[in-house]
Amino acid sequence: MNRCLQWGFAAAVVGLGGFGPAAAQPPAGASPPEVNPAALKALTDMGAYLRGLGAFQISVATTDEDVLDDGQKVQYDGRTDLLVKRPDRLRASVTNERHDRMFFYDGSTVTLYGKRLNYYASAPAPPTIGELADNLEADHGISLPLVDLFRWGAPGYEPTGFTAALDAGPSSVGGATARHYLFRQAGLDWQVWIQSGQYPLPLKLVVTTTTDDARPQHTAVYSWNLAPSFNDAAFVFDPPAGAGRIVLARAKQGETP
Amino acid sequence: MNRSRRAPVAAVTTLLLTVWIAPPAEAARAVRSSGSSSVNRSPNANANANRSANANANANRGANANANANRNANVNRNANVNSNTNVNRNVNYNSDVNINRDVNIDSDYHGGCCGCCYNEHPVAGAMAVTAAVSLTAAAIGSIVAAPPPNCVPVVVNGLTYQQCGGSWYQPQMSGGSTTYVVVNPPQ
Repeated sequence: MNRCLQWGFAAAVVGLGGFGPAAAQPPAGASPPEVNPAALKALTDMGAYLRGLGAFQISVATTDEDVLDDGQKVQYDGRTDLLVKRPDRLRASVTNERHDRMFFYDGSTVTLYGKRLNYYASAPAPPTIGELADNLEADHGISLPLVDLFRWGAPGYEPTGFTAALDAGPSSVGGATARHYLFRQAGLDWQVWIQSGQYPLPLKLVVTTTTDDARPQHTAVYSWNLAPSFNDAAFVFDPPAGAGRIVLARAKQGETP
Repeated sequence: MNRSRRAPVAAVTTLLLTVWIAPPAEAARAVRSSGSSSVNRSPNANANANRSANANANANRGANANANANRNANVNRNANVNSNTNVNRNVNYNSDVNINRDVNIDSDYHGGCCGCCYNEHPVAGAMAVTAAVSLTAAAIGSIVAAPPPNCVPVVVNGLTYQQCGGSWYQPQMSGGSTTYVVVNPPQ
């Protein structure tokens, strides 16, 4: 397509008796995409640090966008709260215009609870959060909230597949000094702000979906608590009065998120 | 229709409300995609990476034939010029629970009426369409975004169903939303 456009343009210029040969050249100065090793290292370091966190609590202000079928975008704000005790306890709450949903995982059972409908669904769960994320996605088409926190730095994680990885320099998020990195991979452009210093936590994430011309964007600003107080009951679902149990549908082939 | 230039506002409003009780069927606008919220993929997931981490997005695509009978009356304030009755392209995000949307999205809201569950997942259309369908027998195995009005929740073997006349709907958490499968009466 691009090539067609270029040739068409060149032909048009030639037709005008002008600068045909010059116009047929590929655009000058288009440098190859850059993959900065420092940006990759920042991801690796952040992942290693995240992997070392035993327990944490995080509150995330989110902004998401949908694209309507005529290309108009709809933006909505929300909040995601997560309490994690590695390797096998997780409680999450996702609240936005679309959902008011909770996740409970106690190392053997996972329960999803939809507050607005007062329905819940439970299923046996694998022994780690990482496996839980994989299973929910593959078997049920469900993304664990803030799943990237469990994929960065997971065993076997490698920061690969980027067509660009850039260091955008010093920044700050909510008053905390940070460094800003840009990444480009198939279908996604994304940005992460990583806290500077000895605690390289992600402070902000912006994900731009590039497979849709409207480029819907997800923004998340994180507030961390690395010394949460909780007890194990927090990870066990206790059905509220009137809550109805329903089934957790299996994902059809090709419906993974 | 309203020939008096000085018609009282109330009369205009009444007229408009009357008109809009039975609006023309109008295709709602569906969500074609959602922004991905994650950048890492499950190693088990298929190769169709990164289209969207929002599980709702794929299932919403092109599956909506929604005749939403509800309209937000306050967009009709300018209808007394009698020329632009079809102005309701607005994205109708009422924040209360009795939510009427022109945009056919998934969400977890309850419907206002009937104890049923206007909800989440526009696989086969929203409430108005579903209700019409339910006048005939619902096809076993079909999946709808919401059961018709006037259903009764019934628990069988620990699982909640919605019994709607002679039809039974089994709610299920499906991807990012809840859908309803038409099932045979549970034993």
